[in-house]
Parts: sequence; C-alpha cells; structure tokens
Amino acid sequence: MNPAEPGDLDTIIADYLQAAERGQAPAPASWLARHPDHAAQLLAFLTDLGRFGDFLGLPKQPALEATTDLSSPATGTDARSVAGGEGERFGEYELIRVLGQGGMGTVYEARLAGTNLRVALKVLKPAELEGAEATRRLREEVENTAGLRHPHIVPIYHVGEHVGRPFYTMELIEGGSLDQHLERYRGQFAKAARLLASTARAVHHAHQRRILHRDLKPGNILLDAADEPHVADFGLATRLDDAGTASDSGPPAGSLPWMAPEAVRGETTLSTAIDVWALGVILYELLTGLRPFGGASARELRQAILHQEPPAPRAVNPGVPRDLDAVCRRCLHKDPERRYESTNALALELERWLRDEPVRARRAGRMERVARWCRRNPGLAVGSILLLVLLLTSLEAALALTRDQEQKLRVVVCRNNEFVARHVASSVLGRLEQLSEPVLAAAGDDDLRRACDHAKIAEAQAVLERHFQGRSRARLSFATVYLLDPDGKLVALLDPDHPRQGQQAPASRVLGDPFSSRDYFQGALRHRYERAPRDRIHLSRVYRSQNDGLDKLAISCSVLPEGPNKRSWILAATITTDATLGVESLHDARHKAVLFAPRDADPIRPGELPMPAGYVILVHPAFLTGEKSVPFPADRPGLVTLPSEEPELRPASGPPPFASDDDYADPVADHGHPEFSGRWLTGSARVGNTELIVLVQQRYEEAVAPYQAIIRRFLLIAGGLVGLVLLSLVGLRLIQARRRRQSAIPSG
Amino acid sequence: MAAARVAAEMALECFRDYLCALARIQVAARPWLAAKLDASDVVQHTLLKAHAARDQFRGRSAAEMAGWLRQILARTLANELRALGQARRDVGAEQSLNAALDASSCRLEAWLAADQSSPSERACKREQTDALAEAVARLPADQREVVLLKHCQGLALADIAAQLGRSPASVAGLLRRGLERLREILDDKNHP
Repeated sequence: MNPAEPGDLDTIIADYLQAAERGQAPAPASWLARHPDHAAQLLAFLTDLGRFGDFLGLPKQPALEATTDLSSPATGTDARSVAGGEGERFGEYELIRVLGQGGMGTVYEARLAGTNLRVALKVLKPAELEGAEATRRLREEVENTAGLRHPHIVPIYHVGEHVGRPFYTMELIEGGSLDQHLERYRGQFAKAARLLASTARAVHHAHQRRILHRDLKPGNILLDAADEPHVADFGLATRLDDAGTASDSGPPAGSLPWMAPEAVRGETTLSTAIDVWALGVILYELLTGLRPFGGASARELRQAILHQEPPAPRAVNPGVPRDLDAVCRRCLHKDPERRYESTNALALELERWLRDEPVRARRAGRMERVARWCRRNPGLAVGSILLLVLLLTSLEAALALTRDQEQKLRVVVCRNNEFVARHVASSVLGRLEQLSEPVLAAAGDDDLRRACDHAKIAEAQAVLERHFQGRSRARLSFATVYLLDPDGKLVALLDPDHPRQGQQAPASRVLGDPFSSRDYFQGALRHRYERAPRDRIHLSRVYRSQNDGLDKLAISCSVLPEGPNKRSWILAATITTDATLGVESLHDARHKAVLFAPRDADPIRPGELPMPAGYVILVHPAFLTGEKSVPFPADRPGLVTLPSEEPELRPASGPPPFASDDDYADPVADHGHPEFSGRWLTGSARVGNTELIVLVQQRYEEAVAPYQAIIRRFLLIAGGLVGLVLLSLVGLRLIQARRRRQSAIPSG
Repeated sequence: MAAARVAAEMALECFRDYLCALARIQVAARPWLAAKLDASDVVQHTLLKAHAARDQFRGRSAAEMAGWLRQILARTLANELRALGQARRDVGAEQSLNAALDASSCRLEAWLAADQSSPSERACKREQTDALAEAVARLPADQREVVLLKHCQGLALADIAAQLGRSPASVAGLLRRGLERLREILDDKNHP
C-alpha cells in the first residue's frame, strides 16, 4: 500500500464507513493514530461526518469530545504521571518537549504513541486546574477552533481529558512563532506585507464564522517551513453576535501590548476592529522592529495605548514605504470606526500594495499613480507610449510632407514668376524701343547734325522742338529732352509736356552746366560708333535731376557729326517714375511687375563702367507719375552681373540677373505704400541687354493658399482633439469630485 | 371561523420551507427531471391542495400536520411524474415516494436537531433544511447521487457500490468530497 495515494485515503474511509454501518466504528483518536499519514484529512472527514451524518442516516458517530475515556493499553494511568515533564507519556501521547507556555496552559510537542504522527498538545497548567473557568475556556477554544478550517489557521485534531486534565492536540507547526523570527522581516517589506495579508485573511475567516480571536500577537502566529503563517491559540476567542459585536462580561482579556484602546478601557462590546488593531501592531513591529507603544509599567503602557499617538513607522525607519506607513497608521486609529472595516479589507489593502496598486489609506501623487499604473500594466503603458509616438511622428510626417509640398510649390511659383518676368521684360524692351524711335529720328536728323557741327544752339533747339513738341506721336511721356555738347555741357533743354513759354525759367538754371559724368552721357559716348543707329541707344542709370528734382532715366544717343574732325553731341530724352511705363497689362490680379534700375554713381570715372551704387525701383504699380523712386535695400539683390558691352536694345539672354526670392519684402511698403507689405515670391529677368531688371512678385499667401489650408485644418483637428481630451479630463475630474462629495455624506 | 381559517393558512405557510426541502431532494434525486420540474411549483400545488382539503385534516399536532402534508406532496409528486411519463403504476409509485419522503423527513429532522451551530442559527431552523436541500442540488452529479442514495434509501456502502458499479473506495471518496463540498456551500451561504 502506497500511503501517498489518495485512493488509499478513500479505502480507509470506506473501511470506516462499513465498520460504522455494522455499528463497529473505531474510536476516532485510535483510528487517526492508525493512519498518521492521513490524520488531517481523516479528521476533516470525521468533522464533516459529525455534521452531516444525521442527514445521511448513518449510525450515530462517537463525537470527538466523547473520546475522553481513550486509553491505549500502554498508558500508565496512575495519578503520578500527570503531564509536566518531557519524555513522559500523556495518555496515548508521548511528550517530546515543551513548545511554549500559553495563556492558560502548556503546549508540548508530542507523538501519538506507536506512530510517527507528531502533534502539538496543549494541556492546562496544573495551577489552573482548579478553575472551572479555565476548563470552560479551553472547551470554548476547542469549540471555536473546531469549526474553523483554513490553511492559515492551526487545525485541532483531537480533544480529550487525561487524569482529569483536559487537553487537545493540533497540527504541529515546526517553524516556531513569529516573535522568534521578527528580525528576519527587518527591511523585508514585501515579505512582511505578504505574511500579514495571509494572517489577516485567516483572521477574517474566523470573523466570518463569528469568532473574534482577541489575542493576536506574534507569539500566536506560527510559521511553518515555508514561512507561511498559521494563526493559533483561540483561547481568548469569543463569539460575535449578529451585529458583529461580542459582549464580554469578564475582565479585559488579551495581551496588553497588542490590545486596542477600547479593549484596554474594558468596554463590554467589542468588534472585529480589535483584531484589526492587533494586526496593525504586528505590522508596526514587522516594519520597524519596535512596538508602537511602550511603558515601564502596565499602567504606563495602558496610558500610552489610550492617549498617545505612536510615532509614524516612517519616523522610526525611514525606509518604510509610504503606503505601508499609511496602512499601519490606519490600523492603529484610536477610533475603531476609522480603522479598516474588516481584516479582509486590510488583507486586500496589503495585496493592493504588493501589486503596486494605490492603497486606500493614502492618496498617491499624480506622477506616482501614473508610474504605478505603468509598472502594473507594462504592456499597455509601452503600447500607449508607442501609440503616442506613432501619432506624433505621423502628425509630424504629415506636417513635414505638407511643408515639403509647400516648399516645392514655392520653387515652382518662383520659377513661374521668372517666366512671367521674362515675358514682361520683353514687353518693356518693346516699349523702350518704341520710346527710342523719336530720339533716333532726332539724332539722325541732318539739320541737327549740322547745327551741332557748327554749334548753332538755337537751330538745334528748333530741330528738337520740331521733333518732340507738337507731334502727338513723339509725345511719349518724356519728362525732358536735353542736348549736350561734346564736353558734356547742357546746351539745350525742352520739356515736351509743357508749352514753350513755361519752361524757360527752370531750364535756365541748368543750361550751361557740365554733365559729362552722368551715365547717359558716358553710355551714349560708349555706343557712338555702332553701325546701326538703333544700337547707339543707351538706357542710362537713374539719377536725380538738378533741373526738376525728379528721379529719371534717360534714353540717350550720340548725334554723329557730319563733317570730319567734329565730336559727337549727345541727345537724351528722360522718363521718370511711373506705374506702368505706358505698357498695357503690365500687372494682373496675381502678378505685380516692377522695374528696377541701377542708381547712377556720382562722380564717375570716365572710360570705365563701375558697379552701380545700388538699385532703385523706377516703375511700380503703387507709383504715381513723378514720385520719388524707392531705393532697394543695399544687401539685395547682392552682386548683379552687368550686361555685356553689346548694344543694349537686344533680346535678352542668359540667366536671371538675380536669384528668385521666396521671402521678399517689398521696399515700397516702407515708403508710403503699406498695402504692399507682407511676404512675396519673386522672379526676375533682365530687360534686353540693359541694366534694367524686371521683377515679378506674387503674394506668398495667395500662392501657397491650398497648403496653408491643409496645415490649418491639421492644426485645427489636432487642437480640437487636444481640447476634447482636456475637456473630458476636466469632466471626469468633476464627476469624481461629485462622487467623492456624495460618498462623504454619511448615509442614513 | 374566518380567524380560524387564517390561522390554518398561516400554519400551512409555516411548512413551505420544509416541503420545499423534501421536494428539492426528490427532484435532485432525479436529475433528468431538473429541467422539467420545479420543486417550488410542486410545493405550491401541494399547499393549494392542502388548503382546499383542510377540513379533512383530523390531527392536532404539528407532526401530524407534517405527515399529512407529506402524503399530499407524495401524491402531487406522483401525479407530476406520471404526467411526465416517469411513473408506471399509481399506487406503487405513490407508496414508494411516501416511504422515501418519510425517510428523508426523518433524517432532515435528525440533522436539524444535531446541527446547531449557534443559538441564533437555531432560530432559522426551517430555512436551514431548505438551504441544505439546495446545497445538495448544487453538488456535482456523481457526488449528489451517492449522497442521495444514502439519504433517501439508507443504502449501505456496499449496496451503493454494487448499484453504481463502482468500488466501495470510490463511493467513499465521492461521499467524502460530497460532504466537503456541502460544508463549503453551506458555510459560504451562511457567511456571504
């Protein structure tokens, strides 16, 4: 027979039942003794049979308490062998050693004679023998514990009486009691919490069966080989009534250091809260190694329990986790109502702490709760972080994509502007050719050449007036027309737009002044030897007129001498700032075309074409005719390539004079035209082979409007989501607060 | 007259839990009926019949009243079984049911008398029988079978083993586990 097989257990039970049916049921103690390997299970069966035997109609079982007359043949029954020594026989048990002295008796390690079943055997102290009260207490303890079957409560096997002394046996827990092992729990907070949670659950089991332990202390918590706690010694336990309180008429019972204030005061109605208190004291000992209350005498100790607030466990041992500190202090509340409502609640709380969940006793900070939640749900936490990262990166990617698209669009728009600028530039070139025609006609007029050769100023003036005044074709927006002699002296001047009599007075101011340093003079001289008359035209740089103070650009041309050894005179017709330069449809709804011209450097070194001293805006949609030109910022457009020495009125070629700008600020915005402020996208083109530059500008907002709309929508959605989340958080908060308020109102 | 009738009905009502327990056990002993037959319906019928026939009751004590009600219950149960095609002959079925009910009642009484966990629990004696019957009904089928063969028919272990085609040890094991489970169910019920 293999004693380890459960089938074996059932065979034993079957044998027992069949014997019982014949009316020959063996006495429980000896039956248990015969099967020591299954003693605990057989005892459980006997207990169940005691309870349900009647229901099954089985013959009346010998009750456990009825086994008092048991005596094995080997037992010496004389009065001298009253248990008290070790190695002696006690009834059918052999006493091995004293395990401890309980409240009312001595506990031995004992062996059932003839077996290897070792048990703990509790006998009343000889001194207590007389007291019927003590006997009653022992009976009560047995009755109380017998109904309790829990893995963490020491089970009672057998109750009996030997030579008039009541005793009972229970499971032998080998590890000794907790008070011998407190040191091992120093700093081992998780271990301590687990131990106390198991203990609290066992105590709760008893409470559910209406048994109040009343004497919980480390000495009554036994540890087995696996350090599992077993609650023992229900010697002081009392029954709870339906209201969950116990009425106790006797003197305060329990061990003082672990007694709750209401028990110390001797209150007659006690509740499970005193066991919660005792567990709190044990927790305090486990956490700090000290008892919460002390005193040189029982009186002092009593006063301390009643009136003193013990130092917080963290104050004694700073390493104690905050939550356990709070749990412990909640157990040790002077007011029983404010302790945990049950030891089960305490167990749940400790288990919550072990699982890293927030405890009820203390509200953790926000960060702590988040960190805890993450530790508890690492998968979920990593998942949500990944999700968040994914969300952010995809949002970022979408925005980057949009930005990239927008960037590309900007390039395209700028490039487009360049093409528009080229087109505009050729229109402007055509216009300039048109403007050059009367100048060429006058310069090629033989009357003028003769008058110049002979320095007949009056004749020359008459020729000019014939060409530039009174003929509608020639009246092409010229501001003034000059004739300069070969030394650059201004010899004739007329204002084609004004009647002859009106222009004499201002013209006299500059007549005779030398202007050889002006670009219109030098440029016309440079081109004077070109074969085709048209190629002798020079588009000058912009200068400020000494005559009328206008910013002007001159179309100048040399008047070639007829006779030999004569020098060239110079004819110049000027145009001033304007909105369109007389070109139709220079601008449309989106594109604004602007004409730039270099500013004339003054003075200029002859024979050399210097870099221009910066550019000015001569034609701009914002301008009224004759308005002051607007200087272009010095740092823009940077180095501009100069046109070649070729004739100027030639079709344009080569790269744009300066690079497109996608962040262009129109300078006229700072010169009285604020409607042109903002960001522009530009493209430029050179007007023929001149130094003039056409710039086409388009508003940034209009060009990239679709992408702006996408980004705006993105931001709107993202903002909306964030707002929604915030709103729901606030809502949750409010609901929580309301719940808390409602639950704070005492019910009933 | 009216007061007496009310008193009689009150008295009948007192036996409801008791009859429920008996009926439950009988239904539990026939697990194939559990879906078709509701013990509380049977008891309701029984009480209605008893109320209609209350003038025929000649006894004086509560025990006599209980015996009379058991007879009506046996007849009601037998009718129900016949209606469900479970009983062959009227008289025999009713008699064996009567015997089973008597034995069951007897053992329930004995159990009640012995199982007194506490004075306060003694007060709800009748509810306890019903609770026990309900707990029995909640046992796993094989354990319930063994427990009820013992309870209703008082069969010896060897007879049960022979009837079920099991070894005595396995029957004993079923009984042991059945009692353990009963205790757990009842304890959970008493102390929710």
